[in-house]
Amino acid sequence: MRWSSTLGSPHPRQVVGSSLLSLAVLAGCTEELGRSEGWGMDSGTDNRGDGLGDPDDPNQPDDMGTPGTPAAPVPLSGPSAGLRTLSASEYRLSARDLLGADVFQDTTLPADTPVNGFTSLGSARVAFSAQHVESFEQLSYSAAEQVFDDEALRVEFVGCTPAASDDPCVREFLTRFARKAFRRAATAEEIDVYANLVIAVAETSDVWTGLAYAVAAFLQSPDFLYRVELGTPEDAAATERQLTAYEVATRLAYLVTGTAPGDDLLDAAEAGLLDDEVGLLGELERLLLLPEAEENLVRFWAQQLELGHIDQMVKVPEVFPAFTPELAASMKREMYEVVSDLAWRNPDDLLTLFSTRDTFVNSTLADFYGVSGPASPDDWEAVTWPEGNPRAGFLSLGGFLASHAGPAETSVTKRGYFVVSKLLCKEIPSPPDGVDTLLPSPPAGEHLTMRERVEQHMEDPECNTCHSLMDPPGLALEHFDALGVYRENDGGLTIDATGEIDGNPFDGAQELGIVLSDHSGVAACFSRRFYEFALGTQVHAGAPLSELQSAFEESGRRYPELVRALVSHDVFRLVSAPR
Amino acid sequence: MNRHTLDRRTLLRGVAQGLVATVALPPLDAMLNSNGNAYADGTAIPVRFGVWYWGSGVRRNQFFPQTTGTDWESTAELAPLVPFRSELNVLGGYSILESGIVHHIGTAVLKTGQGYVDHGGNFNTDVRAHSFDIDVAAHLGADTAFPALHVGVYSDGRFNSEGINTRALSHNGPGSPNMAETSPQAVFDRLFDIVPEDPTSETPTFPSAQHRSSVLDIVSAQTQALRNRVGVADQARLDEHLEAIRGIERRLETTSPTPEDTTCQIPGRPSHGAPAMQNPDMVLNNDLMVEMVAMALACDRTRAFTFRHHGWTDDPVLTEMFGARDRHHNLTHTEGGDQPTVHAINVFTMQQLSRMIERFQGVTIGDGSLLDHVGIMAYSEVGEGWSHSLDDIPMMTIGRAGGALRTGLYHRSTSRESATKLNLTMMRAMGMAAPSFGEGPHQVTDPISAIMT
Repeated sequence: MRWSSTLGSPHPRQVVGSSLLSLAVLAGCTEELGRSEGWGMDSGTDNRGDGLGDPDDPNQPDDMGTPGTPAAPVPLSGPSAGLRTLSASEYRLSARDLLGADVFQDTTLPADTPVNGFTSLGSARVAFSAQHVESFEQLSYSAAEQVFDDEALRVEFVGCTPAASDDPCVREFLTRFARKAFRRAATAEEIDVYANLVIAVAETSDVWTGLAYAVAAFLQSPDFLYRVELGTPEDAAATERQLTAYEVATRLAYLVTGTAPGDDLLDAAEAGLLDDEVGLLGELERLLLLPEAEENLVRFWAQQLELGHIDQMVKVPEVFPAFTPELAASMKREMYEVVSDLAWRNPDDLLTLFSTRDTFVNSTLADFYGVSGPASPDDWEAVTWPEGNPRAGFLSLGGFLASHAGPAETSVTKRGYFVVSKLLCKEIPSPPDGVDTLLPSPPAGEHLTMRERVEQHMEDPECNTCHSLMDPPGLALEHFDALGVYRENDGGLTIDATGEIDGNPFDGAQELGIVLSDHSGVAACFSRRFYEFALGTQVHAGAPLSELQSAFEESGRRYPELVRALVSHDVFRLVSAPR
Repeated sequence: MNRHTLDRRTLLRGVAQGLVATVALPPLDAMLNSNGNAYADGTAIPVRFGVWYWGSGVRRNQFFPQTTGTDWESTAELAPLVPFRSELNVLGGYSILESGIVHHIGTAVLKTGQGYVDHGGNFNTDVRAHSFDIDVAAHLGADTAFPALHVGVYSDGRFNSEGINTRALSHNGPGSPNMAETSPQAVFDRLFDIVPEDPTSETPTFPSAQHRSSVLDIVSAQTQALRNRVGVADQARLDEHLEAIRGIERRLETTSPTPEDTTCQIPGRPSHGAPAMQNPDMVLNNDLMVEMVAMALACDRTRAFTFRHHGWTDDPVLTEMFGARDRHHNLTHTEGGDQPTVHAINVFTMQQLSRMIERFQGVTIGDGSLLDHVGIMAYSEVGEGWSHSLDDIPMMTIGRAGGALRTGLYHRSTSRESATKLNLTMMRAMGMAAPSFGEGPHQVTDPISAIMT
């Protein structure tokens, strides 16, 4: 069931806390590594000194190098004014909504280029390739023909049967269509361009063909392919700009539904309803109930928790004869089910993700885990790990364990790096110049535990600084092999799964999960990454972020409240100066 | 309006509709002068350019010969190339003269002549500038249908979670990688799937070249208008967009190749798309991709290509072929002893390269082969894989570049010169003035004269 509305809850901006724990820790790691000197970079262009984040990002403070010292407050700022490319999924859904038909459902679209794990960060930084532009051109004609080939559909779509190319209903259609395609009202001059195209084509063909070219032209327009977030022109000189109502509507629609704003949301924008917080939150609540909201908002967790990594997984068949594409697909579905249930369908404290003893299995996974479950791979059941089962939480799911391991051996560093970087937002800098980051094999004929191999390799204090952060959580999961199967020992050798994170000791996966489910750094990290995901900008500190983090804590760390807190914050309606 | 189901062939039909062959005609023998090195009117046969890259270096003592000059002996890892020694040069002793994140620094320097920019966290590096192949392509191919072709054999690097620098071999600039296409079918569709328009047909084609062009004019004007409103970073992105639109416009004005010509023989549509992650058929995909590139050059659809055999962050686990238990890169660090699996993969990689050389040799142009008219820079981003050595970067040139390159040599630098000398050499061989290449320690002003005529 759905959560109840919290429109009456305390406003997030009234709760100002400091959630800079993770910052202090990461500054320490980088400081000890002497990141600011050398690093094989020309300091003239790498002007950060701290080695963190995007040097072009205005949200990033300059003074993060001192361990343990919270960064000085920075001015409230949103992402830079600019353009966001539509992702493949956003392009498909936006075209679907424009044309009323899912014309690209079975089409392979050019892939996105994520940055730091998020498509949205890539959307703000990476250019469309020539292949993208070529595809958009070809697909636009394919889509137009699908609509205009159908005589009944095209009349319904255009809303009339135009008598001639200068029939007023042509212009009415173009005006209506432009508003949806551009996600704003188009100017008369902009409409003229399309109207003239229809007339020119109709001279040698007919009006329907002219309209088909016009629709294809809309689908190739930069005003369709880029989300334009430039703010109001009259504020051009200011460091912050208020987004236009249309831009707010667009930001909201793509965040919640992954597609363009519908007519109702554009109407609300035009009526000024999004200018105040109550109106904006009212629209948010309406969108949250749409069927697209779950898939789109769970996308954040899929990217943050690297659920897609399993698609690229390769295993050595001789070592893992049990590995099949069906097993991988089941593992992926299980991770989605666990995350969707906790984050969205039955929202609860998100940190219990790491300690919960509940999961979902089909017959494939029931066999894999050795628990009772459904009889068919198509049936899914909620199950609780039986008493004595060594698993608990996300980190002990087969999908996570297998996709964060090598083709034959476990990887302490991959698993540990995930915990440290994706759950605690500690930034592990790239290793020192010239340092080899892979573990050598033990001498021939000798078998060592991963801990022994890691310790042998980490004698170098330069490496040890960061590996002492990364390796313990990875070693805690050593009771699970590279496919995620439980093992009591490692080829006869005793597994030592003890360690600590920030002074909290653990022994094995279950205790690691409990430590993480009680770690405020995880909640702070998720808030920060959600901010980055939602606004498409990297951020390390600042008032909006710490306010968001506090609001998330206050809500009992429920994901829908995180969405509400961000949308209701001023930063959601702002951009900073363009870069 | 024509009411048939629109497919790719139909879409591209407009490309050839009613157009005059203005450029990019494949060179017919009859059009050549008596020496076979120029057209009858004295115009030189165009020179072509390629970059061939593989990740994770070599086993140095099994790759480099002992003897320099023309009498270099076969080595275990160069053996597959020995039948073609007269078509290529092997280069040793060149270095990346800047330390940095291992693999990342060589990757950036050999593309751009400078280090990377590190966006922090998770090896998130990008290039600082466009890669040199962009300049070469612009110099060579201003009037071909495609300025360049970017292909790969295993992965396009997109799933690789490290920075953009590591994911592509060619970049238009920061944030603008030219990802390698690994599906032979997709490359074919882009290059060759052209069905000549029947000018006698009564039903107009949708879309027609004429109206596509009108639409592109509209889109260009809108993009230009938007460009005037955004910051410099977005301006650069929109410039890429405008350049891509110009590419489509150029192809609308260019005729299709002539299939019956002896040099240009448009292949059939390949049977395969992108290779599987698990147990990819590297041999098949390499052969298909080589064919696409060979014919793209022979048909003058483009004069520049990059070929990313496999990266070092997104490389295959060759279990079936070599019993590998890990990716190539990981094995260079984890395999003990003399690294027999790594060695086998290195030999295999050179075999794959030899397939391209062999195929190019079989394409007749004038009185010689495609190899006479192409210059390819082949290299990896590190020297020895396991040690990440930035010295002794394995590099080769293939082809004579229209006579600008000598061949048959194993040449060594004896003074630890910058590997970027090869970039400059290739630019000069392609006829560019290029007074220098690279920045800081990578800046070079002289080519490797030993391999230039």
